[in-house]
Amino acid sequence: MSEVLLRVDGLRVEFNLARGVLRAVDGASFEVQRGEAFGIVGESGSGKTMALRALVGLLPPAASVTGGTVEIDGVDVTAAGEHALRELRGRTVSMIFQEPMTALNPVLRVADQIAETPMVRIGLTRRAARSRALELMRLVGIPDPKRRADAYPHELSGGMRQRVMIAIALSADPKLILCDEPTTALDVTIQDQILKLLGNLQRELGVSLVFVSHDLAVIAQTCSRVAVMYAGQVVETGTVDAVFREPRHPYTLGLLRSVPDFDIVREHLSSIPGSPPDLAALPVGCRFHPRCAFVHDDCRSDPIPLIELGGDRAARCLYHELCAADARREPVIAVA
Amino acid sequence: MPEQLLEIEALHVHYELRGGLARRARGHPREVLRAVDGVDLTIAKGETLGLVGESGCGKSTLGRAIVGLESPASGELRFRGEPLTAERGRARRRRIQMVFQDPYSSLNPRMTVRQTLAELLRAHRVVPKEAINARCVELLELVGLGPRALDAHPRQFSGGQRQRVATGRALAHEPELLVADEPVSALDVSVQATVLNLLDELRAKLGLTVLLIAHNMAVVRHVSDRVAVMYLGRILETAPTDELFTNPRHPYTRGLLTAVPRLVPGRASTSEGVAGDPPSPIDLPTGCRFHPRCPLAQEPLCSTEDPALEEGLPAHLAACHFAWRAAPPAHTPEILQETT
Repeated sequence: MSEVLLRVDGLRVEFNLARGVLRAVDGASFEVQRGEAFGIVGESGSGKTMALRALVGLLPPAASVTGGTVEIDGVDVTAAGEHALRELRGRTVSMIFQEPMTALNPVLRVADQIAETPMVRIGLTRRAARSRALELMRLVGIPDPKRRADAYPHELSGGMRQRVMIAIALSADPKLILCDEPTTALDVTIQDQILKLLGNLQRELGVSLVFVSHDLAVIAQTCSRVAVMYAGQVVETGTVDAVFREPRHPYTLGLLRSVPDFDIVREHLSSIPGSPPDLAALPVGCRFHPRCAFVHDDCRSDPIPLIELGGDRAARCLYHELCAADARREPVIAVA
Repeated sequence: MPEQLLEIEALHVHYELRGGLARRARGHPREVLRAVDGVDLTIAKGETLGLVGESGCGKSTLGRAIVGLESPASGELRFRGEPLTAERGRARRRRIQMVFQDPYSSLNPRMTVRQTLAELLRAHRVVPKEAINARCVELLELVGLGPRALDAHPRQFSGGQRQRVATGRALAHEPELLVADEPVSALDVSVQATVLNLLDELRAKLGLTVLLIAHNMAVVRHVSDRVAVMYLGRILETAPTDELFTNPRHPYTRGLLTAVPRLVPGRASTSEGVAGDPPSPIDLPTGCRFHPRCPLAQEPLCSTEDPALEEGLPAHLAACHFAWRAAPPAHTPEILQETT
């Protein structure tokens, strides 16, 4: 069933600002299979959220897609008109946002919000749509759906609101759900409940997930493959297992080593020196080279391409072998 | 027995809620939010105590009460054996300092680092006037910033650097106890480590005692000597760090540890962490405050009797009726039962 549902090729997103053009996403390429959970991980400003939003044409007004193609379920999104995009967003793809309180409509009862898509897109009657809403609320683990159906978002806890948002995302039987930091605003026990719910839905309904997060552990727990983003570029892709055990980009290595790992207690946490570059003044050559421990002269001259490494892996680093050797020397994550 | 620097006994901090004019007109009393509801805790000299809990559990309020930013409704704080109230003289105030969560809002944007530091060195007469400049340089060095940072404004720094400045400001008072309230949660992952390492270095170098308030269990595991778990205004369990993580005795601690996402792919537990949402601190459950979400809760014991912290192993205390004796078989928690 390894069939590609989402194919992103050379995606470029630019912001048109008074001080010039900022390239938030620069040539991102990745593929997501049917039924797969795919993670995009990066720090703030890495372009991960813009890449996700560009997939369904939900960019802020100042930003636009200026290059590359996005294909979802055989439809070329970048060439599609507004009507086709709306149809796509209503049926094939849905999205879960970070802050459920701002994403939900505060003056509509939750069951009505869940019933909206089934009525508008599938053409169910009001009554059928309401019973569909109750069914979805039960599916996402909202206790006592009948009683909660007529609640307003502010009457629910953060976890319950996120469940409502997931119910809305599921309401038109989508093939792909885009999740933008869906648990960042939640406490760890509630995060755990929501991640397990999303994992179950992915397995049981066969829906694909694209999961954007800054939290490496959240990605490790939910996704099978991952793309690591830095300064607008994908710097490494592969299976989560391979990338986390033996990273082949120094940024991934540094990131993994700087996160306090629940399973290995280190005397001293390492960190990546410096800070991410300003997108308006990017370093020449490799964008990570000023912070890199493996830097060589040829890293400072030309842009580095994403190098295919076989076995579904790629890294944007000329010295990925050095990086991998370092990871083998001192394990990055606890060995199971 | 190590020397206790701070002792907290039956501390209560309550917030009276303003709203509800209609309620008051009808003669109902004001609602009270019990943010800290009977906390017993000690901090030994020189240790780093990690205080963990979810949002709304009262951990920040407890930290603020220790620093003197909140007045307790009842209970006692003792510093080096002497009672400590919210109204304290300058000399006492200096002994306990705080680093806040958000370095973007806790520094004055219109003052340079030099002005910020010099002002308090002068006001508190920490050093003689002519030594102020030299002391500013020393403080910055201590937190890993060069003297060039002295004449910069906060906006010129990254988040991690700002948190260093905020730490330097707290250290200017030469405190004995540093309360760090989520010092890294507003920072990007790659810079969190530098701030955590800094706290650790400072403790070693200055003999500082640190109360680290955090929600991230992995962070706490890395930097604390001892951990206290807080839930709905109460400490439910305290133990030395390794002991707490390997032998948790309270069902809430166990659930919390299960819920932590793990960096090792496939290591995440498939069992449930903690069921349901935390109840409102305005309307606390009777008996044990965790019983509605607890898989071990027994009727009527757990819904009527509030368990006290009990020391079952050296320095390991837990407030659960079944912490130190055979636990009953797990069942579906009450909070999930009423739903069907």
